[in-house]
Amino acid sequence: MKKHILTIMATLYLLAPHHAMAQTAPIYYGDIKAEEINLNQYSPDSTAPAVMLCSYARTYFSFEGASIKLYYEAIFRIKILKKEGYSYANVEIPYYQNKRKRLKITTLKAHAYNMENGELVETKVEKEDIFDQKLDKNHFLKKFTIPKVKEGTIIEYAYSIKSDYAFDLPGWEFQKKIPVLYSEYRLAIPEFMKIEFLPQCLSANTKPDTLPWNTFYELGIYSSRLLKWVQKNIPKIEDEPYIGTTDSYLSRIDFLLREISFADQHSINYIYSWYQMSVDFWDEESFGKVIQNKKGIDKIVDRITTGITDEQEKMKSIYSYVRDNFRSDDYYGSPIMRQPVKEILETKKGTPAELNLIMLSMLNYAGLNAFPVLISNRSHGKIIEKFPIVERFDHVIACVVIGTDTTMLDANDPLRPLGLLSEEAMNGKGVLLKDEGYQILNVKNVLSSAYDVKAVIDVHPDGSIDEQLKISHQGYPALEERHGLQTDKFETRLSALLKEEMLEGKLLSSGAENVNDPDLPLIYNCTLNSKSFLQTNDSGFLLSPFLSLGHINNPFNAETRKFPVDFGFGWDENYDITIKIPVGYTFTEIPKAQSVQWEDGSLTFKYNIESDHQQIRLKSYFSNTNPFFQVEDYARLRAFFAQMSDALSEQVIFKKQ
Amino acid sequence: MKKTILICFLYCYGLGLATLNAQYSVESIPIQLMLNSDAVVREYRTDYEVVDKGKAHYTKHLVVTILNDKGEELYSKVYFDYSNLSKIDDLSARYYDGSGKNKEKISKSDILDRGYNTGNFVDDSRFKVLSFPHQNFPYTVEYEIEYIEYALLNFPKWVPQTYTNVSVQHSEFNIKSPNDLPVRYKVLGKTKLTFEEKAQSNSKTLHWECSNLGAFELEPYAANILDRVPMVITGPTFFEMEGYVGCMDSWSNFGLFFNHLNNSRSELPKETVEMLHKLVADCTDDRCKVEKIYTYLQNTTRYVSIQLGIGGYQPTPAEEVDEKKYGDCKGLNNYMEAMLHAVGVNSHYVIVHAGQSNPKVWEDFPANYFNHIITCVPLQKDTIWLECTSQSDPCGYLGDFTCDRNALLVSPQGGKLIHTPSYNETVNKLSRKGEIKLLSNGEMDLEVQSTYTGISEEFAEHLATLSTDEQKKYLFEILDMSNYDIKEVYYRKKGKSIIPEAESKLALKLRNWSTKGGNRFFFQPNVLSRFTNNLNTDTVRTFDIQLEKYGYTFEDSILVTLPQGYSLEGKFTPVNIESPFGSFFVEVTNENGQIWYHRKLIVNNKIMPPDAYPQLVDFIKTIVKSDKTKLVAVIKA
Repeated sequence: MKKHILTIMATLYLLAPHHAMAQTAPIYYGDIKAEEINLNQYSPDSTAPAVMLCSYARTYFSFEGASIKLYYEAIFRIKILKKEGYSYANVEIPYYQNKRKRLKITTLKAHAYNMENGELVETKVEKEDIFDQKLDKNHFLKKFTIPKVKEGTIIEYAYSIKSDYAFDLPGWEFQKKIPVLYSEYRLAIPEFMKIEFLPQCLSANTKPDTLPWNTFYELGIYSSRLLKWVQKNIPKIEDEPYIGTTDSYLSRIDFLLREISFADQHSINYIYSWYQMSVDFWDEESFGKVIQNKKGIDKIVDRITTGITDEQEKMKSIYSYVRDNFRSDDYYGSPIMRQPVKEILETKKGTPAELNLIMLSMLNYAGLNAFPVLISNRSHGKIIEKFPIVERFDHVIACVVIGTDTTMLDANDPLRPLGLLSEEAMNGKGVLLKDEGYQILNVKNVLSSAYDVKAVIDVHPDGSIDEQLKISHQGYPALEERHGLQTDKFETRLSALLKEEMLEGKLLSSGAENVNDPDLPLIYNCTLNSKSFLQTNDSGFLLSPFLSLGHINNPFNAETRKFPVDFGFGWDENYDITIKIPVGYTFTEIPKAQSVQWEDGSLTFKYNIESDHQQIRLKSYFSNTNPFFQVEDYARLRAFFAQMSDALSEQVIFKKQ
Repeated sequence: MKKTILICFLYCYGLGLATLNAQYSVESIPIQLMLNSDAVVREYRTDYEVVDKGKAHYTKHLVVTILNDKGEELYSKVYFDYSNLSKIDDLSARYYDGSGKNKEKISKSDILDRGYNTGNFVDDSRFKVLSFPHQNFPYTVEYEIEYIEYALLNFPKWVPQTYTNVSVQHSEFNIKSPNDLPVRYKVLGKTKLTFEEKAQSNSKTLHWECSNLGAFELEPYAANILDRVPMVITGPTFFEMEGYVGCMDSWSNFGLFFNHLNNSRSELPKETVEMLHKLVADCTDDRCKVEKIYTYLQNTTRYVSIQLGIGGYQPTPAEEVDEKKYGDCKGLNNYMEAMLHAVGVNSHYVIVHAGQSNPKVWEDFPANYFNHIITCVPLQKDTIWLECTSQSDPCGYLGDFTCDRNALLVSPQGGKLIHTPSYNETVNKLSRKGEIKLLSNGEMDLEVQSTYTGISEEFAEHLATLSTDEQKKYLFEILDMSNYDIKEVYYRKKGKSIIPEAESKLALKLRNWSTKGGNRFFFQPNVLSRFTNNLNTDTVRTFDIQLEKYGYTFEDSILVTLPQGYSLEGKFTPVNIESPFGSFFVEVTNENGQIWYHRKLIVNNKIMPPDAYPQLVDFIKTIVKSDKTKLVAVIKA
C-alpha cells in the first residue's frame, strides 16, 4: 500500500551491476558430481521418489535508469529415484506483470543428465518446448518438461528474473515435498537498505553467514553485505491432521524491507509500525473508506433497524441481513475490496472480506462500536506478531463492542449463526484496527460449540429396544449438520447417524427443530424400535450404549506427532443415557465411573453412572477449552482421548434373573 | 449469405425474447415441475448449423429459474470452455427476479477469461466464467452462447435434463446441414419427443422438442441412469478438421480417419530399430517380444499431456517421442506400435473412453465418444492389451481405467468396434490369512497377511509407494477403530503375471477391541473386513441396481486364539446365502482345539431391476449383522 518508486535516486547514480557475489557458489550449472550420479537411494527415506540434490538462489539489487531492480537467480538439481518422481521433471514457474511493472524471466535453461554406456549424456530442453501460459491478465506461467527422464536421471534447471518489484523480496523454501540434501540462499544487501529476516522452522542455531563487504556498484559509493543461509539434509514436509497448513511448519525464510537511506538523503521507512498500518488501512479507499461509507447502505440500515434501540438487537439485525441476502465466493487472498461497493450491493455477491467490510459500514452507520479485525485463515498460515506484513492477512472480520461484550462477526455463510466465525478463521490471533491505534487479540467465538445427547433406551426381554433420542447441536456441530442438510434429506442424515440402530430398526417418529434458523441450536428428535442393537447370547444381552452416538474413536491413533495440534476451537460433548432394565433381568456389568481433568482445566472428561433395579443412567461430560496443544503435550493428549474412548466403549451386560 | 442468415436469426430471436419475458415469472411454472426441484429449466435450446465440412455455428440458449442454494450452486456460475478448434463468437447473459421482470444485462467486461492450469500439462484451451448476481429465491438467469466449431468430428449431444433434482419446462434442439452433408442421429430414452424434419432448398433442419420433464432423484447403487432422460446424439457423415477429411457413417470409415491422421508418423531412427532387434534377439515368440518392448517403454518413457490444436487428435511422430522420451497417450501408443512394427509384430491403435465412469458407446451409432488411446496386439492364440501411459501396469493388463467397454480399433483397412477385456469377481480378489489372539488382560494381537489381485490390487499398489510412516498414517485414518498400535506393516507389488498382484502384512495391537464382563470376554473376530451399511431401507426404488461396477471376492481365514483356561461359549451363527448380487458365507469352527473364523464375500456386477431392492437390503443387512457378531470367551469351569 505504501510502496513508492525511488525516483529520487534516478539522477544521482549511474550504476551497473557487476560481479555482485564473487564468492564461490555451492553449485555450478552442469557440473554434475560423481556422488550425485552414484546416488541410487536416499537412505534416510527409502521411499523418496526423488531428492533435491541442491537448490540455490541469490538475490541482489542494481539500478537501471530511474529505478532499483531486483535480480534473482536460482538453480535446482534433482535426482529422480523412482517412477513416481517423474512429475518433478514437469516444471512451472509463475510470474506476474501489469501494464506498468513487470517481472521478467530473463534466462531459462533445463537439462537432463543420464549415464549411457559409462558416459554422462546431457539433453537440453529446446526453446520451442518452453511454453508460456496466460492464466489471466496479470498472471503467467512458464512451463516446460524435461526430456529423457527415467529412474536415475539427474535433472537441472536454472532461471534468472529481473523484477521491477524491487521491494518485494522473494522468500526461499529450504524444505520441499521431497528430501533436500543441500539448500542455500544468498542475499546481497546494499548498505542503503535495511532488511528484516523472518526465518521459520530453520534448524537450531541457524544464523546467516555474513561474508565480507563487497563492492557492489561500480560507479556508486555504496557497498553491500552478503548474507547466506544454509540448510542440509532436510526431510520432506509431511501433513498431519489438525494443523492449519503445513506451510506454517515449512523450513523457509522471508524478508522484509525495513528502510532505505542514503547518506545525503532522508531515509524512507518501508516497514510499518502496527500503528501506521492501522492508520493506512483506515485511509485506504478500498478498506477504511468503505467502512466509513454511508452511500447505498444508509437506507438499508434505516429500514432493517427501524424501531430497534437495543444495540445487541441492531447488531443481530445487520448481521442477519448481510448473511441472508449476500452470497460470497470462496476467494480469500486479500482483506481489501476487489470491487466497488456499488457493484456488491447490486449483485449481492462478493468475497468474504468484501461482505464483512460492507457489514462493517452498516454497523458503523448504525452507530455501533465496530472495528475491523485483520486475520489470516488457517490455510494461509499464522500471522507474525513482530511485524505488520500486509500479505500475511487474507481476511477481515468485524468486532463489535457493546458495553463489556465483544462479539466477532463473519457474515459469509447463510447457515452460520451470530457469534460463530468460519472454521477457517479460527487461527489464533488477529489485529483489531482502531481509528487511533490497534490491538492484537485472540480470535474467538461468542457462541460455544456443543453436541448434547439425551437418550432413553427401553430394553425388552425379547432383545429388542425402544429408544427415544434427542440430539442438540450448537456452534460448529450444528453448522456441519446444516451443511449436510443442504445436500441430504433429514431422514437420510438421521439414518446415517443411527446406522447401528437402523440396521434392523424402524424410525417410529422423527423430526428436526430449527433447521431454517441458524441462530438457534439444531435439534434432532426421534423414537425408534430396533431388533439388532443388542447382541444376545445364551446368558443374556450385551448393550453398547454409545454405539453410534458418541464420537468415541480416538482421533489421535498415531504414536508420534511432528507439529502442534491445532483444533482451532474448543467444544463440549455431553451424553445423558437412561437404560431401562428389562423385566426379569439384572445387569452383571456396567461401565465404571471416572473423571479426568488436566490441571490447567483445558480438558475434562467425567463419566458418572447411577443405577437401581429399574434403570441405569450414564452421564458423560467432555469439554475442551484449549484449541492449541504443543507437540510436548501430544502423548498426554493421545492418552486422554484413548481413556475416554475406552470408557465410552464399555458395555452393559444383562443376565436373566 | 452466411452472414445474412445469422443476422436474421438473431433479429427474430431478439423479437422472441421480448415477448417471452413474461413467461419467466415463477407463477407460470407448472406445479409438478416444482416437486423435488432445486431449479427449473424454463427454456433450453440448442441450435447447430453445419456451414461446411469444417465449420459449424453452435448456439445454446438457457433460461433457468433457481429455487434454492443447491440450484444456485448448479447454475449461478457457468464455465464456458473454448480453444482454437472451438471459438466463442458471442456470449450474452441477463437475469430476472421472481416475477420474471427483466432486471439487468451482464456486461461483457464482467465475464472473466481464464487459462487452465489443471489436467493437461500444456494445451490451448481456455474458459470464460459467467457469474450471475445473487438474489432472493426464486430468481431466473439466462444466457446465450455462440460457438464457431472447427473440429467437426464432435457433434452436439442434446440432453435437456443434465442434473438430478432439476425439472425442465421446455427444451428444443435444431440441427441444420446442407443436403450434401447429412446429419446422422440417434434418439435415446423413453420420453416421447416431438420430431420434425424441415427441408429447405439445399439444406435440411431436424427438430426435436420436449416439455414438462419432472425432477428426479438419484438412488444408491443406481444403474442405467441414462434411460431416465431423453437424449439425442448426432454425428456428421463427412467432416474436415485442419485439412484432414473424414467420414463417420461407419466405424470402419471413422477408423480410417484416425489411420490417416497417424500416417507417416511411425518412422524410427535406424539406431533405435537396431537396438530393438538386439533387445528381442532371444525371443522365440511374439509374446516375448511384446513383453520386452513394453518393459522398455515403461522404463524409458513417461506420460506428459501436451494438446495443441490438431495435436489433440494426432500423435507426435514416433521419432520425436523416441528422442524426448515423453509423450501423451497418442504419442506413446503410436511409438509403441512403431517399435513393435520394427520387430515384426503387428499391433493396433485403439481409441477408448478412459475413466472409472465408463460412459456408454452405442454400437450402432459411430461417433467420437473417446478421450484416450490403448494398444491392442493380436497374437495367434490370444490378444495382448497395453496401457502405454502407465509405468507400472503388467504387460497385458488394463485396469478399471479402460476395461470392459466398447472401443474403436484402428487399422489401415478401417475401424472396428471391439470390447476391451473385463475383470470380474474371479480376478479381483482380496484374501486374508492370519491370527487374532486374545490375551488374558483383554488386549488382542492381530496378525494378517493379505494378497490383492486385479482391480482390488490398485489400493495396495498405491500404498506400496508410500513410506512405512505414511502407510501407518493412512491406515489410522481409514481403520474404523480406536486405541490400537500398528506394530508392523508393509505393502508390496508381487510377481509379473498379467493380472497385477500385491501382498501386505499388518500386525496390530488392539487395546479395547474386547470387552470384559465378569468371567467373559466379548470380541468381534472380524476386524479388517467389516462391511459398512449405508442403505436407506425405507425408500421406494425406481432405478435399476448394480452393487459394484466390477465384482470382487473377499476371503478371510483367521485363527482365533484364546488365553489359557478360556473356551468359546455359545454358538456363532453360520451364514451361507446366495443373492442376485453375490454370495456370503461365514462360519466359526472349533475343532481339535483350534478355532477358525472363515468368511467369503462375493459381490458381482449384475444389473438387477428395481424390484430386487429388498433382496439387496437383505443381502447387505445379513452381512453387516454377521460382521458385527461377537464371540464370547469364558473361563472354563
